Amino acid sequence: MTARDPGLQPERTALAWNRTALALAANAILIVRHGIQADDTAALLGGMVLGGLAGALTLVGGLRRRQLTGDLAWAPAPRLVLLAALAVGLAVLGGGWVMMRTV
Amino acid sequence: MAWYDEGHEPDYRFSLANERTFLAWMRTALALLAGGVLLHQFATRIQPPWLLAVLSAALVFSAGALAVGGYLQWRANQAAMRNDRGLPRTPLIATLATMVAVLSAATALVLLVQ
Repeated sequence: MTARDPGLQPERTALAWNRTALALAANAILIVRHGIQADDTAALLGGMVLGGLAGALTLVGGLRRRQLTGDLAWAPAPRLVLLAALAVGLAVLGGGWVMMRTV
Repeated sequence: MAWYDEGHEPDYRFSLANERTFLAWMRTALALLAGGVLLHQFATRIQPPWLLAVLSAALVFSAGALAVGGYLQWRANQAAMRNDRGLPRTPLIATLATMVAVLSAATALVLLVQ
């Protein structure tokens, strides 16, 4: 796996993680915005946590690319995938929270 | 033995394709989530208010369903590849198409009767 992948799979995978991080960051901004407007500290903090998670997902993408080009030892993907799913789940909870607070 | 230790390691390209597919489901969920929150925050003049709440909640709920379903689908695909089975069915596809169609139609109706 240390040979260069002509299909650019590691790069494409890293980009997919980046795109997901961007989508998560957009939602984090929406939640932080609500926190600022409605003086909702929980939303503010939660949104910042989500922003941090979005940054973490970007780092995961870089980590995956280095793993896949053989620079790092192989680490199990299942935990990373679970992390991403949990981050999105947290964002969903945050979105629901924002909506319930403004009803 | 954990599911990810059973069987053999698949061709890494298939694992990565599965991983990218999972991430695409997550992005779809996040797009629906943003839509729900935006609708709720900015479409404040839609009458009656309960209808707006229902639409927004339906979008957010769909996002949650996709997040869970996307992870489960990824795991099922990975286990199938590890054990040389065919890929499992993807009920997510029909579910997502139905959800988007229904939500779009409902939103169009709501906007038309304003």
